[in-house]
Amino acid sequence: MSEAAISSTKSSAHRRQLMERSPIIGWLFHFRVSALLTVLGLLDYMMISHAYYSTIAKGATVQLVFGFEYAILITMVVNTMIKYILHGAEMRADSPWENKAVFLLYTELVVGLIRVVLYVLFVVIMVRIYTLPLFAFRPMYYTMRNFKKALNDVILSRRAINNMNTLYPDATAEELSQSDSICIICREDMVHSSKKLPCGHIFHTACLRSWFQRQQTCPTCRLNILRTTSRPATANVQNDPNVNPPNPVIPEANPNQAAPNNVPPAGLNPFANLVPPQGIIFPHPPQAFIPPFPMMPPFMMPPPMPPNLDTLTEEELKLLEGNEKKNVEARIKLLRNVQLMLDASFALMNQYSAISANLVANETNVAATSETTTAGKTAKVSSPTVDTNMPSTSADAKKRNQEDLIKIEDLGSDDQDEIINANFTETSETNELRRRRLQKFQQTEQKNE
Amino acid sequence: MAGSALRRLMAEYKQLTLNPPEGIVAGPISEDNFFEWEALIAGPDGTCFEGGVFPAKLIFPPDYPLSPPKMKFTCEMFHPNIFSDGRVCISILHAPGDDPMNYELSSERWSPVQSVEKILLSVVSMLAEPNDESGANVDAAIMWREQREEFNKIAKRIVRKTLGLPS
Repeated sequence: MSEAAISSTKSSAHRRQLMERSPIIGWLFHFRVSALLTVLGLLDYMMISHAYYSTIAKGATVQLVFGFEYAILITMVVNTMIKYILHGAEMRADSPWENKAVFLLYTELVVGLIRVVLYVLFVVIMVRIYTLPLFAFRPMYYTMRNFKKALNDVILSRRAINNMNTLYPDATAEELSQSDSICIICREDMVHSSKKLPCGHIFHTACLRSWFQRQQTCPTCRLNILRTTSRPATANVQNDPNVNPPNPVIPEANPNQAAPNNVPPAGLNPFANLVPPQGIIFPHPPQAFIPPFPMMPPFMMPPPMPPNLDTLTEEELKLLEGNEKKNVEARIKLLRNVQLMLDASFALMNQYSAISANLVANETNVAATSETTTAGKTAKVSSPTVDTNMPSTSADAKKRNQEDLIKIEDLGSDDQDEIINANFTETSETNELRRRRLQKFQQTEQKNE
Repeated sequence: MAGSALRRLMAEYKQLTLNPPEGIVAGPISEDNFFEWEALIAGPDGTCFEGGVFPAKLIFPPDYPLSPPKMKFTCEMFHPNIFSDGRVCISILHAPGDDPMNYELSSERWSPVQSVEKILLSVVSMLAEPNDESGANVDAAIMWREQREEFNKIAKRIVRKTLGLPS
């Protein structure tokens, strides 16, 4: 509180902080602050007018730069003055003044906007008549950041308070009697209006409003109010205070409902469309030893998203869940298919490993086949991540084995020597085909892993 | 006068007087001004601050409990989380969004649910277990980390000083 501090406008902000800390303030203090604000404001105004007239008279001089600086300073004086007046008005009033924080928020916003406009104007003018005023960028950046923050604060607090007024239920007498019925913010009994947050905590409406002007979280558990209420489901909460909204109850989704590309229209048997055509999912009997890639495409697609269950009514959901005979049968059928496919892939893998174990012995022979090696290398280049799971030394060997395996499949023969010899007579076309198949197989295998 | 703040501070004062937590005494300096409190904190047993009684001052904002109070030790202190002028630097005293050290989780920040009692208990545990990662007093933090003996010696001297004993 020393007089020495009265040297710049910034000291008044410091003063205000001090004032906020100690609420008992004498008349002398009020007089000092008002006098200081008036003197600073008048001085600043005189300087601005001086800068303005000298710029008009003599053209752009250094007074232009100073003029804008004075204008920024006067926004600070005005800001402090408004805060001081609001604060003083609150001290006068006997009851707590709920709207003070709102006024403060909007003051910040408006003053921030004025400052941003001033800085932008300054930069534009300087660029026009002289050059880029680099020195102004730092304060301009901070001003813009502050403005953005003020804007954000206003928007968030408005949203939270709006949510509170419209979405959250008033606490019932029953709920109040269950808890100790003391608002933990003001430590007073909750006899009059109180609100229940989505997390189940209850506070005075007035206390909550003042808190939401600062933070948009539950004071007790810090649940982010704005994030939880973005769900559409909360719209119903108001009508039904018994429903505890915090955890959105996701309707029990039957895996079968995650069906390909269709939302079953309500009223129809949902499973009519859900069981995919047999041929696509399971084109080959598992016993047949056929290159696996034709049946892979269904797996390579991302799993279809379940239909939006929120929009369905209770009855539709029940229908979707389907406990009738035909639905159960459809489920069993689907599960059987899954089981069959798992068995098939198991058998396939067994055969692969058995054959590759045999082929290790012939590795040198295979390596001699230049075509095969080239093909193997190409495959490696085009799918570099495939082998991460295998030891690197055996990776090449395994590739060759797999290639041979495909040959075996193609030729329907299990005599490996013959196949390897047959390699020499292969045309490059079939080789290319194999290489592609091999790639595909490796990719799908990796995906399945 | 900010009525709700005053009522809440009175309620807390009553609560602290009826059920004082161990090792903590706190109350307004004068009954005329409930926004400035004085607290006496006993150094926790089994630590280098054992036996000491440390006076501190709490200053409440008019919008308490929406904003946190400020706390300042009025005796000499040498501790990683206490500035050399006595201000206490713990996360519970910082409102979310203003983070002097850019370090604290928002879950440990001030909220209206906190109270004077909780603040003082946090300070006691801070005395017992300094956090040398967010150093308000860097010298103390380094000494706490690297020369514990030296730190304990200084702490003992401060303890004797607060008790009015010759060091």
